[in-house]
Amino acid sequence: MSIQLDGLTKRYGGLAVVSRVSLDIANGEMFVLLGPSGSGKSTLLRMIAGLAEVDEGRVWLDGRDVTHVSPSKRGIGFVFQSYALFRNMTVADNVEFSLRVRGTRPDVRRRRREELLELVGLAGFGERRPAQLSGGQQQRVALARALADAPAFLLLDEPFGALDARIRTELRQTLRRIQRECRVTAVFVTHDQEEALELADRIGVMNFGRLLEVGAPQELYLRPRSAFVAGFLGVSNLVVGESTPTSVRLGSVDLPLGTETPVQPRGQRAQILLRPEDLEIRADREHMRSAVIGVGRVEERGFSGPVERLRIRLDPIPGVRQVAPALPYGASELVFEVTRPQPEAVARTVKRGDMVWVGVRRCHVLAPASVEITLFGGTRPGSHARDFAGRFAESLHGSVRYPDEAALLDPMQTGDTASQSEVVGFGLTAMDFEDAEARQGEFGPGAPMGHVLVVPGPSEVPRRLLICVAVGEPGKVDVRVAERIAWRLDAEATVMTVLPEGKGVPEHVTRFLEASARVLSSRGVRTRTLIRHGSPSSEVLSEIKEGGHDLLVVGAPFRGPGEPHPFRGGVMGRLLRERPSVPMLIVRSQES
Amino acid sequence: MKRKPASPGGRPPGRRLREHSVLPGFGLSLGLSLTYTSLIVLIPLAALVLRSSSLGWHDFWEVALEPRVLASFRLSFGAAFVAAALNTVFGFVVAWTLTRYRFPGRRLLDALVDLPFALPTAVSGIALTALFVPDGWVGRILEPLGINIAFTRAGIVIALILIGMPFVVRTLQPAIANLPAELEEAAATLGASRLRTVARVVLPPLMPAMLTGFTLAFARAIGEYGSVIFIAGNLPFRTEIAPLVIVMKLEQFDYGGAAAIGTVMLAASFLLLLAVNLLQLWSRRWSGAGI
Amino acid sequence: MTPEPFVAHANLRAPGQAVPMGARDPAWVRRSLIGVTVTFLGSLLIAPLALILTQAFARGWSFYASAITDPEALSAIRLTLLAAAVAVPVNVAFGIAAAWCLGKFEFRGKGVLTTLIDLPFAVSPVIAGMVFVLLFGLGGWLGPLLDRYDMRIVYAVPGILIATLFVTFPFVARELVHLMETQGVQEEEAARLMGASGWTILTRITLPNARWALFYGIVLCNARAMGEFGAVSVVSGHIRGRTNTLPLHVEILYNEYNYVAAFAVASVLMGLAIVTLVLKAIAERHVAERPSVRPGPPPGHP
Repeated sequence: MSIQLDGLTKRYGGLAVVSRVSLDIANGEMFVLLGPSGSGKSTLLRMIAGLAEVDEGRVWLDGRDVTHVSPSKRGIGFVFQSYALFRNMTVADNVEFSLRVRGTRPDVRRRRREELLELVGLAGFGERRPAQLSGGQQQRVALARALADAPAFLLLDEPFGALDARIRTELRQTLRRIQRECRVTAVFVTHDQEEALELADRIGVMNFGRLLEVGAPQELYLRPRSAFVAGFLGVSNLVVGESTPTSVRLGSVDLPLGTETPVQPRGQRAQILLRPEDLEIRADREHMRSAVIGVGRVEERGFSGPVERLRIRLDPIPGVRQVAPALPYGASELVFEVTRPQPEAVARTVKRGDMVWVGVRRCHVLAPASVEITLFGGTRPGSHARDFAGRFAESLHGSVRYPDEAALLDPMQTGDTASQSEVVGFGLTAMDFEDAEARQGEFGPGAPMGHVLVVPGPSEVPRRLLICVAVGEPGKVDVRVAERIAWRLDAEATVMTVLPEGKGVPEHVTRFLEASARVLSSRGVRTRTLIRHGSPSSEVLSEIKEGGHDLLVVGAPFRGPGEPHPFRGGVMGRLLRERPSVPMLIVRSQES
Repeated sequence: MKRKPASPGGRPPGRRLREHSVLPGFGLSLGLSLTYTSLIVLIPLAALVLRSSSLGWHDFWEVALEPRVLASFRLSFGAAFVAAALNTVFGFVVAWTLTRYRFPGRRLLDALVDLPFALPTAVSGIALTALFVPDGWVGRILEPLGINIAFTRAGIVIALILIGMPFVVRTLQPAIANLPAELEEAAATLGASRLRTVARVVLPPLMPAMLTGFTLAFARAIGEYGSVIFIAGNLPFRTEIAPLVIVMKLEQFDYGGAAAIGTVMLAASFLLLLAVNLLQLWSRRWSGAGI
Repeated sequence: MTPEPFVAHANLRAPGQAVPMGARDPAWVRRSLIGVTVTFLGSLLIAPLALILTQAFARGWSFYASAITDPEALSAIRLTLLAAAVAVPVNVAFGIAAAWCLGKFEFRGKGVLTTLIDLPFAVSPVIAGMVFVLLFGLGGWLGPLLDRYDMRIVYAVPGILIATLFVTFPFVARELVHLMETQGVQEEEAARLMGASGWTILTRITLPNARWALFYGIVLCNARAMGEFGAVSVVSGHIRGRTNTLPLHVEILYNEYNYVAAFAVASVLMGLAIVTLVLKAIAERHVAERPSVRPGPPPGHP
């Protein structure tokens, strides 16, 4: 009794709340969908149940395509957060409802009801009304009701969300036992990571409508691929360091990696996850059994039952930047969350203000980000580029490098576009419009070689991309970069070219546009093409307004050192001077 | 539902005259409210009851059970009952449609539902009459079919439907809107057909609201005067409503008789008001948290 | 945690659909119920409105103008405005007092007072008029006393005003009481702890919070004051040019078979009703919980 989902998508008002989710859930599995509120997990569950229409994709239950089958004919049991018990019926009538609907004989019905109430621990409650039961008891009734007709699939939408902690733990155990006894395939939606880790055979983590990672609880906790999953499944200390094929480097310390970590190219910047329990602290260095990374001061100390929680502040380590826990903007020290088991905390007490050695027992390298945005300038308060880059990177599941680092790396020289776009996604340099304007003269002999994102004002995450292509432009890197962005954001795209006034539309132009559109739509991006006549810059600006576009993508081929500055003259210069109201992504490509 | 803030000492509310509060002005505002309520409502209504009691037991019932009065009661209560029953059926359809469906003109219709509240009853009375007289817009269609509405009991019922309709619709609308969609979804996942879902899952929780709407429309229709007298024809024993009998008795300075009829109607109003309050309690039990 | 970019899922509805999929009716049911609703409300509400307008202008503009500028019509308008000008402020003052004690305090007998405020809704307008005739009329309890001082209440303007006060009694108060009960006392208590006086709390916190409910109550109270027929009819004595309000004027013209003039005056009242509906809709948009669609007796209108 397996569940297969194939490219499920759900949109509300053009916004994808569930975006191309594909997933196989095995027979008898307890699968937990975990994500923050608004991540699309409930909508996904409702599509499996048939309570929400599917916009794209298919749902297969037990090998049967049920995408357009009504919920009453799918053979599922559904448990709601609000219990949804019929208050006008007794507990017994509630449990028997689905049997009565199917015309089951009364004696069979009664036997099944007794059996189920026994199973959920409510034997003898049959004649009560739902209103006479506590929340936990009501949810037990709802569970019995959902199971009455022996469905092959049990779907639970945050079923314990409205209950208090103790009852929740109790019900988790009940649910796990019943699910095993009934051998039902279950999908459980929750935003509570503890609940997910405890219940699940496998967990699927969702954010922004996408299924990010799927895996067994331990696997996801110890070896997440993305920063989001790392942070959502527990407290994470996340720093950026260097990685080599066999180790990661934090400052001068080399930390060996387990064999399971994906091999990184030499000298790659990497996000390194240090779980609080992976860090060791001691007052004396001699007894440290792990790789020591430095000395820190105990800032906070708290007791939470089984473990002691400490917050340790270390001096800055060159080349290491902290991502999580988030520090105030501009801070360069490292602050780590550390936990110690209670016996150790009792045996070797530390006080607030003590200096301790900090060592790393185990670390894990996250998969490289899809896009890395380097912020250029952007240090002034209210920088639009900084705001936008943060939001943009977050929705692309990429990362942002901040100016302190960027200064070291010289943003203008980092853009090895060809290799980056193929191997690790791609890199962008983001800057405020004012910086782009001011820097025009300072680019010296060469303009930036990497892609540049110019942000003129406060901007939202793009939903409608306008891609301006010059016909015959080689490489079409602009289209491919736009495709990645549009696909990841589930945005729409318009590919547009501007022809001189009064000319017809030559066939090769149409062919070129269609080829570009194919590149986009092959990944499932909704795309249209557009030809306008007139002056390129003014047509682009008016199309932005008329079409409601919110990101302009323009290609600017890189013609080698000594090229005439492409941002100053020509169409690009005019566009920049006219200051488009939306962010503008200038995509550089190597001229072949 | 009234909030009952937990009293500081855990004392059940109602043991003291008033719960402690840091806010000032209780005495002043309560005094003003009680004085004004007594002057405008309590004393005048008490005067009515006293007046009719001065008739004495025997005379009171003689007036109240006089054949013409009795006929008017029968008509007032009967027509009000029929109108309220029809309103419950149509009002449910209207409330369901306006709450559950989206169609052009919905918001306009929704706003118009309150028209009978806002339109002076004399105006709706003459308008309905002009519609249903034999050469009126509607009467012209009905006359060849042998149906006469104006100046008959049917006309009275129609006027009372107009007057009572908003009560049913406005009571049912929030009840339908607050019906959790999960109930119907749960029934669907349990395999129930739509018809069964509506009959077993949707209608039962709406019963208190339907009965409340019915009672309100009924209570309102019993006392209605303005919109009925124009279309009623006002023939004694046939189309003469109880409030009209009161007006006539007043015009003949038969204050005692008028007071007796008024007292009977007032008692009916009280009973219905009580019924509404009980229904509200009941409906809170339906929607309430239970424990 | 990540900021919330989307609306909460449970509230998401496909466009054009008021309810999620599992709670939808088949198309034919939907279509026939919409048909019944449109026919029912159309014949019951829209037909009378259309009829009033056509009848009012049946003899052209000039007749219409003369019907509503006739001296008797003008005096009826004046009296109607006077009734509203008295009823609204008195009810606002009483409404605020009642809402303060009922909405902000817990005391014994609270339920009784709340029921008393609703009482005039349940009373037939004819009875509302009659009680004042019984009190102040010539054969009434206070009648002889008033007669000795040559004062008239019934069959005179004061009677009309008192009857109007009776029937408009609950409107402002019940809106404010309901609102203040739902709003609770936390803001007021906070202000009190910061040392505000009762008057400051009322005028700076409570009333600004209640302004739309107050507006809503005033709109309904005003409509009822101007449109009341039954109660006013009983106490007015129908003295032309003296104790006629607009609705009474409509009745007189109609009973004299002066239909076109009756409908012309009626159209003025209809305009008032439509303005009331519009203002009501505006107020409802601002009152968090739509008062007209909450359970409980809606405001009546004879």
